[in-house]
Amino acid sequence: MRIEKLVLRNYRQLRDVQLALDRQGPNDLHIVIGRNGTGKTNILNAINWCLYGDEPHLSKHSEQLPRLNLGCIEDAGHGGHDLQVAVEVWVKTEDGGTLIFERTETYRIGGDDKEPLRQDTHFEARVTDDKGNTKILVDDEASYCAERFVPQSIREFFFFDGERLDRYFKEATSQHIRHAVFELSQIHVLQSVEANLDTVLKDLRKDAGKANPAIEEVGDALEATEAKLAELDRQIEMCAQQKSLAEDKIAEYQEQLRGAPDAGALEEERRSLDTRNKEKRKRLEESVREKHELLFDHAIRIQVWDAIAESLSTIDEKRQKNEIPPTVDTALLEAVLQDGSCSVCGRALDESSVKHVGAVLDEIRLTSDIAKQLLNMENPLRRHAEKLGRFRGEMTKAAREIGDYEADLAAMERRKREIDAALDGYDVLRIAEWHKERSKFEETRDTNQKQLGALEARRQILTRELGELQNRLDEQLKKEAKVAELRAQISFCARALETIRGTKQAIMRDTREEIESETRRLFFALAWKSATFGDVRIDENFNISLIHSMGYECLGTASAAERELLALSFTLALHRVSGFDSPILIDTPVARVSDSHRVSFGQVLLQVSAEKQTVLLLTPAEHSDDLAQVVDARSSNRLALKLSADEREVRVEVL
Amino acid sequence: MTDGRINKRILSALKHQSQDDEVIHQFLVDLIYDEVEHPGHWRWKGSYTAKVRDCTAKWGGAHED
Repeated sequence: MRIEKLVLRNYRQLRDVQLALDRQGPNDLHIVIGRNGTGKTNILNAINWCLYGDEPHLSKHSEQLPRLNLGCIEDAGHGGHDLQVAVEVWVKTEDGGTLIFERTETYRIGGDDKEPLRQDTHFEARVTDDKGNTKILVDDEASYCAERFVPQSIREFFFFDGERLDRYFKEATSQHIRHAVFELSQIHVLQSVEANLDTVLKDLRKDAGKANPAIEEVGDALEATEAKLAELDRQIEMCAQQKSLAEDKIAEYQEQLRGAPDAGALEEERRSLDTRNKEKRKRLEESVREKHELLFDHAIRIQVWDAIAESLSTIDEKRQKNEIPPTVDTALLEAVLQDGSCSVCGRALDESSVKHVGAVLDEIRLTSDIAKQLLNMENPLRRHAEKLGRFRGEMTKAAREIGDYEADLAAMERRKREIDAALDGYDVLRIAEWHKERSKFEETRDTNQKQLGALEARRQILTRELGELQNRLDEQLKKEAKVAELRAQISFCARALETIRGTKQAIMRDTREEIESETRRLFFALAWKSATFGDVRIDENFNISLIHSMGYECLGTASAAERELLALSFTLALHRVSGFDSPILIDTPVARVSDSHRVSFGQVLLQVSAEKQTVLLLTPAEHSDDLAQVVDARSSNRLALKLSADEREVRVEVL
Repeated sequence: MTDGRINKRILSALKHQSQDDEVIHQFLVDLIYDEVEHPGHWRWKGSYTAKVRDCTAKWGGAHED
């Protein structure tokens, strides 16, 4: 399906505008160029309003204004008559027919500056088949027709604004994408059929139970177990959702934190370094003080060390010469002199002997005194020498400790400088908060993972019980001839339910795998730097990852253009896999794409338009010379929106 | 989409899951079409019950125990 024409009357600043979007040539590409305020985004709003009755892209300024064109209100002059806002979306269907959606809103003009009063709204779809037969559908039937064109719940995958394309993976959580995939792939239809069949099966069992109390009893037990299982499934789903949401959030924080330091951990390390630094510094001061005290205590000893060493050396020398301790007894010699005779042989001393003994005594008395004094000094001197020996050891130890502390302090200062350099330029508080939040969600994920395990185990038990009850019910039903018909219906219904469940599971699995493979194929076919990227992955919860050729997740560090390209590839894959062939409209598609990537992105859009109608609403700045060179010649239509001098009306010029 | 209504892959998976049971297959295709054409229809239960009754009769003896 493709949009052939848009007709807007009295819709906001688009007073009387027709946009013909007929395909001319190989590319179904349509370019609408308009400055800000000319109503580009309101074209997107007009389509939404026509199909679904709301305007999701309305600016705050436009919200203040009536939907009815200001110029036409003014021209209406005095009140009393009616004016109409109308938007038509002309669609060409796959079978060659035409589908025209039209929404009108009638206003009564109040006059005297009174606000126009809305009278009524009408929505219809005119369906013309390939033979020219026309059928007019209104209200719910017309809405149903619009749902078949583009379902309202997934319209954002068809009618984009460029800003959203850039924020795609931030806004489109896995749950949101999963929902869209279910809608687009009609898995929700299978879910609905499954739920209804389940209800019918329960009713049939109840009916059978009425004919036989035993059947009723088993049927009740079966129903109770099914209810428990349903509750368990609900809990499992909730748990899986919580886990998935936590994983989304973790991925989001992961992206924000990519390349940023772990500020929390670094700040913590810095604080720890500060504490350790204080402790070390205190110990250093203590060691320095101890060293000083040691020096003070031993200062005198150090100063007289030479004298002590000399004295000890003299003592040692004298001891070697046997001069100490004294070998002659002076008291004996004194007694000899006093008695005048030798105390050994008894011979009387003559004068020369007395003289000789006297001289010997004088000499011995002198050396003996010195020896005694030396002996008296020896012990204190040796104690001083020992103390000085210990002092050297203590000094060496103190010096080593001081050296160690100083080295530790220098290493800490170095690490602090490294931390400061790592955190320089980052919003430390915010990063720390992100780390904290990520940890919180990691905890949530792990808790839910554990809970899921327990719930799955419980589910297995209940499923086994359910199977046993089912067998018991079948046995009871077989015994009861009266319920033969019901029994057949129950068997049939159970088999159909099993088939639809199997189909749903297969579709869910296949759809995810195909979307992944198609997104990958499109991304690598369209990417201008395909060697940079290694893979595109979509997990079971529809979390999308872009893998760098080096193997790491790199969606967060990809450029805006690359992110938009991935979003576009994913959207196109969704369209293709789901079988929806509706057009894609993008408002300001390259506004956030840097100049160097605009041309590449333009080439991508050109390729897309070869297979799918693509409408681009561009500002003149976006429609740069480079981009124009790529897309203009190949586009089917180029239209310009021009604002009137009074800024109340917009005209369309074909370029 | 088939006839612009049902995703082709659903029909194909349904065929596979039905394991050549044509009655079950057709019954489910009908239900899916109904669901697509009239989502959330308030009279769905009557329609389902009637279809189950009719199709069970067609399904018949071959599947009786």
